[in-house]
Amino acid sequence: MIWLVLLLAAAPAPNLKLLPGAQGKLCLGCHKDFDAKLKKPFVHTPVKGMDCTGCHNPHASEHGKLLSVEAAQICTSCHKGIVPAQAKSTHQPAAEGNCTACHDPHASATKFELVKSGIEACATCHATVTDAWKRARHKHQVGSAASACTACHDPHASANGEKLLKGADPGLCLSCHKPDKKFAARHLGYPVQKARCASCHDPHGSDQPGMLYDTVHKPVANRQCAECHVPGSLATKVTGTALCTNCHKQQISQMLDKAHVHQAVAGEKGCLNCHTPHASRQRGLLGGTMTQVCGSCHADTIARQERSPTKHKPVVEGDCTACHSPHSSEVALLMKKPDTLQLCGTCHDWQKHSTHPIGAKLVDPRNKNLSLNCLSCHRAHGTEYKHMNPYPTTTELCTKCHKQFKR
Amino acid sequence: MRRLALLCLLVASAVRADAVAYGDATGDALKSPEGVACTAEGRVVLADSGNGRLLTYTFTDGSLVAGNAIKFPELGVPVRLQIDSRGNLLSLDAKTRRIVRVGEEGKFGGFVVPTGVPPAAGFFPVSFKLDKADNLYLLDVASARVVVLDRDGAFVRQLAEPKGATFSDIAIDAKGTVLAVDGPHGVVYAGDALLSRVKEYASFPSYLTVTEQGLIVLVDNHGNGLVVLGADGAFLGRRLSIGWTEGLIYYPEQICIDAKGNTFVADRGNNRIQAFTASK
Repeated sequence: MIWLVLLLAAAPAPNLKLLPGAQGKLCLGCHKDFDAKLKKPFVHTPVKGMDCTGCHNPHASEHGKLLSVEAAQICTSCHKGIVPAQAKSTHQPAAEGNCTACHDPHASATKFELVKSGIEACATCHATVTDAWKRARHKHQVGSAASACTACHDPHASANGEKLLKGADPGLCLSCHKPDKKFAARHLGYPVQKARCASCHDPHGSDQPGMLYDTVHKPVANRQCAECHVPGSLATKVTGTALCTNCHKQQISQMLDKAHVHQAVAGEKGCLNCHTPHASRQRGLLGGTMTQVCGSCHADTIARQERSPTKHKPVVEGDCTACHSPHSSEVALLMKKPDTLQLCGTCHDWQKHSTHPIGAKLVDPRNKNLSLNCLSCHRAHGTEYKHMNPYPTTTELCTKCHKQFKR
Repeated sequence: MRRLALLCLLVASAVRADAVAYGDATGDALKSPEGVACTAEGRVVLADSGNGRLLTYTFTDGSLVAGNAIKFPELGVPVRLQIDSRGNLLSLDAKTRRIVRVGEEGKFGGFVVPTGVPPAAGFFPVSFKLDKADNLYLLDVASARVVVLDRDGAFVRQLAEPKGATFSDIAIDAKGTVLAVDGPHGVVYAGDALLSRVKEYASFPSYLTVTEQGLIVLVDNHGNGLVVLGADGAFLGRRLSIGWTEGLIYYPEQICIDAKGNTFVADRGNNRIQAFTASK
């Protein structure tokens, strides 16, 4: 009945005045390959009904494949409401009407006319996630491999959760993992059902018992929650850096004893501005990749690099600590070394001695208080110009010093 | 009209600095200066942070004339500077995070010792400003608050940062309103109300000051420029740009705009102080 309604609501079919019984069969006269498609276990309803003109115009069209309307709109002419109006998150192909990224519009061996089955369909784009799931020693077992992703995620859009989740964390998790006595015992009686499960557990799976993220904070691994928390409560004994000082006193003292302290370290949330306290996918318990963590405050720097036609490898790879000391430094901008040549030379050793004359003894002609170094001509996070140069052309750059060549 | 005059000044001065100093009276070079304070009488003090000292200058006839160097162990890494209504100099030390008074003849004049401050998560001042009555406003990032002390250091009041804000610097306008800039988010606050979103105009504003005319001037540290806002937060213009020759700036830190509109820039990345006069 639903399919009948959908068929009636389909794109306006042209009045083709076909002979009785000619619909579809006429097309198959030429499109012989459809014989095999029609034998597949899952056939799209209009195809099954030989209603080719439900989607195609047999004579001419403004759109590819003789579609009667724009490819991005043809599916929603029947399948309305696939993406809710107030969706909290949407799957890009669904939002863009690129349904054929996942579905075969005619027929398939897989339910819902998917081009690949279950997790393999998702792996086409999300291989990083699905490969990690396959490799994980402790997988999140939700149904079969075919439904592993869709058990928690809606493949089109979610009205209720981020990242296409069918609900929010912890509600979604608690729909299966009931907070019973066993649950409470596993969590030492702490009311974790009020916390976000994904702050400790990798929802896809991990090599750690209990599917904790691969990097686990020592007190968590040792089940010593009371090191930081008021026993039986989610509240911490103290807040900010003071909490971490209990164990990391020496390290924090050294951080704060520098002339340039990262404001994130000194700030109200202290270490938790960048680190997650329980477990993380990242080394050093970082709350995300360095690009995500550093970029949460330094979005301007990340954006500058993205705009730059020449990329600096550490920035592209999210390795901010290749040049910067993330906690504190005696050098401005939290640089790891005071000498620019030494710092850049860590990776660009060849350019230390085979390049334009540089070094402490060479005064910058533009400013007598500066010596020539890499940053005399380049900006480490990139510019809108090639070679991370601050000026549009090489000539403009060079003639800032070599004025005799200026035209 | 005054606003127009100041804007004209900043436009006129964008190409060439009117005065630049690269060193002290003996010619020793500046290193990473991070602070500057000034008065209408032409007194200019620079925090020569990399050399762990303060340098005095006189700004006269469009020139910066080097005076004394001030150096004592209690102020190892001076960064931010302020001069109070009586002409007393105060500086924030980056290592000890204490406000240091500079006494007569450049001697150590004692610390500002905050008393009666309500206990909180921590205490880590990164900036301070003075109001007309010489009350001292400390930006304490450890407790996300602005602590107000009287001139003797006694607690007066405190203001919490708005939820989600990350203050980088504060300033006090003529009415006593606490203005603040949130560098990471590119937002300027007046009290706890959002005054202006400046992300479009500034990469990473890290310092702000208010002129006699009530204009708000932000230092765009990463973007190497100044951003001028009206008292209502309206964007009025962007001044100066990145470079190494005189008139251009490279990772500027603190600026000071005197009552005449003369603008002094602690041009950290260029190891110099630059002055842009109001007369042009």
